[in-house]
Amino acid sequence: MTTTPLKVQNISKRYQAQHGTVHALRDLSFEIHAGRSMSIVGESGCGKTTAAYCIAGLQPVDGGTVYFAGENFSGASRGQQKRLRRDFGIVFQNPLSALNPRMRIWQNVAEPLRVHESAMNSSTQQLQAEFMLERVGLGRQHFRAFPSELSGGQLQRVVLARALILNPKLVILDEPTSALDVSIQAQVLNLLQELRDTLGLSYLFITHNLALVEVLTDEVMVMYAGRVVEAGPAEVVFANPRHPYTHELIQSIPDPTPGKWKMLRSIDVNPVQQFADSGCAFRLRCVNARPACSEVMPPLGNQAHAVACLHPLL
Amino acid sequence: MSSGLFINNLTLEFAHGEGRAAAVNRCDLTIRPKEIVGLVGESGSGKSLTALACLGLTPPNCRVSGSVRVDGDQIIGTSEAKLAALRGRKIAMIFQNPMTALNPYFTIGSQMDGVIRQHFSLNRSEARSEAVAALQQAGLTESALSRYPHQMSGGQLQRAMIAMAIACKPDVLIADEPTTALDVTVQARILSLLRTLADQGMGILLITHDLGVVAQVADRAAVMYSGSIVESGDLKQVFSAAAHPYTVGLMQSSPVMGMGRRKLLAIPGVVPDFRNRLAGCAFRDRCTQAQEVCSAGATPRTSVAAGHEVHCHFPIGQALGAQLT
Repeated sequence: MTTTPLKVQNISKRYQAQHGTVHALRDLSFEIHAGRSMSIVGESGCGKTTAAYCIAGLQPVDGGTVYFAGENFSGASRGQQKRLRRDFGIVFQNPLSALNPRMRIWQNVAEPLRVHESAMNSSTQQLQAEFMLERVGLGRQHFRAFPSELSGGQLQRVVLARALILNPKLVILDEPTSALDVSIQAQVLNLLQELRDTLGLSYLFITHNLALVEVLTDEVMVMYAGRVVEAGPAEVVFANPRHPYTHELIQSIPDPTPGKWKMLRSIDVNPVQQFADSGCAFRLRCVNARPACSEVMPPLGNQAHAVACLHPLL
Repeated sequence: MSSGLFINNLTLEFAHGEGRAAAVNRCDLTIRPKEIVGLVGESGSGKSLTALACLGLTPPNCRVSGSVRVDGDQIIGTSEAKLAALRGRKIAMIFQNPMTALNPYFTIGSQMDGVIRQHFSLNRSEARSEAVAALQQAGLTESALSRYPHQMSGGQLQRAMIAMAIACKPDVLIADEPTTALDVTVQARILSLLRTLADQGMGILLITHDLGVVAQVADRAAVMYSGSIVESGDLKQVFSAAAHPYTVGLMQSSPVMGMGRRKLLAIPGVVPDFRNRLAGCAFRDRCTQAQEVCSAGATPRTSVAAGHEVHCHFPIGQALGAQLT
C-alpha cells in the first residue's frame, strides 16, 4: 500500500489588516496521491503562497489539518513537526535569498543532513551533497563557490538539490522559475520533469503562469480570494473552463504561437478590483452575475472537475 | 519631414579593463506613428539601456555614439535644457515598476500638474482638466488626482503612469516592461490601452521579455541578444518564419497553454555578460547552427523577406536571401 504524500483538510488562514480581517485561505482541501502532482494557480493576492506556507508549517493555520504521509503535521508538537519535515522539500521563488550567502554551495545543500542526520559524519554529508549537486546538473567547479558567484538558473538547481537531499517524496515549488529568463526557465523545467519521472516525486506547484501547469502537474486548482473556484485534471480544466474567472484568466494569457493570437477585448474603464465580501467573491466583476450570487457562497463540490459557481459556463 | 523615432547605429559603451565594452552595439530601429514595435530580449541584452538612451537618460559613465532622432530632433549629445523640453512632450516613457517610478510624497494630481505645466503655459485649473482627460483615457477617474501612490493597486498605478506619459500628447511612447509586474487579467487591459493609443497615432516601443505580449499587440518585432538586434521584421514574418537560431530557441523554450507534458527545447548555456561577449557572433556558443566562420568578423545582415532582416551566417529555414551591406 502506498501512502498519500500530502492530504490537506479544510485549512484556513486569516490575517488582521487595518480595515478588518482578510481571509487569505478558506476551507482548502485536497490530496496528492503518490506519484501525482498538483498545481495551484491564481493572481497575486489569491492566497496561493499562503496555502504553500500554511501547508509547509511556515505559517500556523487557523483551522484544519495537514497530513504528510498519513501523519498529522499541523497539530503535531515541535519535535514531531521537525521529524515530519523530512517528508517534503521546498523550493522558493528567489534562490539567492533562499540560500545562506556565507556558506559554500555544498554546505548549503548539506544543511538538511546536519539537522536531520546528525549521526552522519561530515565527510559523508559532503559526499552526499556533492552527489545530489551532480544529480541536478551543477558542474563540480561550483561546489566550493558562494551563492553570490552563481547565476539564477544555477542557484535554483542548488536549492532543488537541497530540497531533495533527504529523499522526500513531495516537493513544494513556490514559483520556482518566475525569477529566471525564458531560456533558463526551460532548462529548470526540463530538470524538474526528469527528476519527477525518475525519482517518482510528487509536486505541489504554486504558479501564476498557467502555461507551466501542464508541463509539471496532472491536476490544477484555480484560486480566487482565498478559495478554490475550480479544480480538476489540468487538460480538462484548460480545455473547458467552467468558472467565469478561470475563463477570463485563460483568455488573458498572450500566446506567441502564430494563428493562436487572441484579440484583446475592449478595455473596461473601471475593472472591479475588490472581492465581494458576501456570496461569491468574484460576482462584482463577473459577466454572469445574478442576484442569487450575492446571497450564497457557491460550494466547490467534489466532482472530478469541480466548479464553485451557481451559473457555470457550459 | 520625418516623424517617429529613428535609432541609427546606436552604440553604448562602458569602461572595461583597459578598453571599453559595448552594452549596446550598433543598434538600428525605427518606430513610426500608429505602430507598436516589440523589442524582445532576456535580462542583460541591452533593451532597457536602449530605451533610456532614447530619452537621453544613459548613466554618466556610459559613452554614447550614433543617433536617436524624435520627429527630427536629435537626442544624443543634446543639452539638458533642450532634452527637458523634449521629454514628456515629444517622447515619454513608462517604467516597469510604477511604485518606484512615481514620487511617494506627492499625489498623482500634483505630479501630473508638474509635467503638464512644464510644457504648456496653462493655469492650475486648465492643467487639471488636461490631467483628468489623460486619466480618463488611461481608464482612471478624476478621483485618482488626490491619491498618493501607496493608495493605489499595481494596475491603477501603471494606468496613472501611462496617464502622466500621455498627458502632453507625445508622438513616441517608450514602454519598458510595462506589464511584467502585473497580473495577466490586468496586463490584458493595459495592452489593450497601448493598442488604442497607437491606433490614435502614437508610435510605441514596447520592451518585454515575453514573446506572447509582443504577439498580442505589436505590428513589428525586433529580437535583441547581447547588445545587438539579431532579427527584426513584420510581426507575422518574425513569428511564423523566425530565421535567427536565437529567436527560434526563444520560441521553443517558451511554454504555451495546451502543450501538455511535452519537453521544452531549452537553449543550452547562459545569457552572456556584455563584458565577456564572444568575438564574431555572440550567440555562437549556444547555437545549433554555428560553424567556424561565425567566430570571425562581423555577422552579415541578411534580408529573408521584405522588411525582415536577420544577423546570422546560417539563418534557419530558408535559402540565403540577398545580403545587405
